[in-house]
Amino acid sequence: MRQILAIAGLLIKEIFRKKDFYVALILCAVILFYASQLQFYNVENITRYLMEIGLSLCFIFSAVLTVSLAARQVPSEVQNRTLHVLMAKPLPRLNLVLGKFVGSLFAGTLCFLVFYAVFLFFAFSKAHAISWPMAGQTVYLFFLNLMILTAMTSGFSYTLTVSANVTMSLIIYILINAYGATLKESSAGFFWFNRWLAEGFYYLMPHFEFFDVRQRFIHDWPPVSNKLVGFLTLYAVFYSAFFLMIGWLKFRKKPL
Amino acid sequence: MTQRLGVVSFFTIWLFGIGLMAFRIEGSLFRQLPEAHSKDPLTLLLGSAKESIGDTLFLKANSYFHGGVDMNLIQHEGMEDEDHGAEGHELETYKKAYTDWVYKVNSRVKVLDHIHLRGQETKELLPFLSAAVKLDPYNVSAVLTTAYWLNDYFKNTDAAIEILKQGLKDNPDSWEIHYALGMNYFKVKEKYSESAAYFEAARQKIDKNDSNRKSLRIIYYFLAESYLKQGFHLQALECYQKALFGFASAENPSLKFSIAKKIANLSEYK
Repeated sequence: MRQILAIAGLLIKEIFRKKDFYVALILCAVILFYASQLQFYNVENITRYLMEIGLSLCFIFSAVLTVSLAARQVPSEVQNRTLHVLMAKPLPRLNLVLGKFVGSLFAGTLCFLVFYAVFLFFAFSKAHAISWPMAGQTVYLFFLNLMILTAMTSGFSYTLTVSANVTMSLIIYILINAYGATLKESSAGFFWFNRWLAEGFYYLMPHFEFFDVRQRFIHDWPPVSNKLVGFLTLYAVFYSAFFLMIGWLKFRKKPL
Repeated sequence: MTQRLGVVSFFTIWLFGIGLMAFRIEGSLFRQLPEAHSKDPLTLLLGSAKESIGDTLFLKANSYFHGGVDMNLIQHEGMEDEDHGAEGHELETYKKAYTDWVYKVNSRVKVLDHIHLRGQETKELLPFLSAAVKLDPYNVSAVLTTAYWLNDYFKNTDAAIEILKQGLKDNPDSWEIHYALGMNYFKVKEKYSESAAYFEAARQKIDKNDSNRKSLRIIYYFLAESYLKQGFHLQALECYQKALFGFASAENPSLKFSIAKKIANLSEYK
């Protein structure tokens, strides 16, 4: 456990050392500041559009930063030949896989929390009233979302190059978020082979859209039930374990 | 060797000629496009994608009006019912009948209840409608909807008229925008010469087929009212008669009776 946390600690330091995070943070703050100043036909207290923009920015920036961090871990260690140094220590390969995953996840979550704090500041200064239970649930469910995304990217990083991994992970993430819910229905009119592929994708790939509760938060709907949150937690743990296992199976016998 | 060089030179010159011609054709086509002269930064930045984004934002406004419901997850059957906005329709669900576990989870995470925004809450639509109109000024539905909300819910008739007039510049053949402007001038501003002019333009631009019979009847009715308010009795009489002509035999007897009464009163000016 100590080994896993030590590797994770390094990753958390790494993300805050890079400029990417600060660029995203400044961009997020500037866009939210500009959006909060907009006036629409002199009607006061219009807030939902600001929440929509703010949450979208938090989700997008966090996902992109996490994917780029998780994807470059192992390839950069191989390229810089630091993996040999790391493996010279009594460190089981499984612990390295888990350490890289936990580090990327915590670093991504910290980035998200900083973006989210900026968003809450602007949203609260304009809306004056926010559903705090819903705000909490949004954070928790997005953490689960990041967990699967990090595990997927981390799992792929033992096979793919950094650029291929980032591209593939983000395409899968964006496609499932946008079309995951309706893919099966949309594929009904496809040629049988394409329909078969689409349905396979629909049932096998993780449904990232399950963790998106922006609609409830923005439109003042009540939070989802604890039972459903429990199910979503198990779902996220299952998929994370699956992707990490794929990565570990590949890395287990890889010659250094 | 010389022969090969000749073939290469021929193809080089041929390709150069074709390329030059393509550039000239593209240049002349580009000059013919109205957007080519646009100095709007959004057009320069997004090109024709601007309209698509505008249409998406208009759909987003529709989703906001229904409490943020994801329109991809709902069943569309029955949505166009006449009692769509009726009280008894409230808090029904849009959930589809089929039971796929992925859909089941999504329908519990996302809210699919059927609600409409009410009162001051409707202001939340304005950013999306405003952006939709700016990005796709050729979307007549977006122009009309934005003007409707501004006038009917926020009592900002001046802004509504401004949007409609801008919409008219971009869609000069739209009878709906002429009609909406006429209604704003007639009902709110009470400027009857302007309303008559817009109703007259709407009358000229509307397709006079059977599907527009009801709309044409309404245009004639308000055109008649606008003339009457200005004291142009003969024009009003003519328009009332045309409005009455637009009714089917058993249709809306009370309104028919009211128009017939007005015609009878105006007959003395013949």
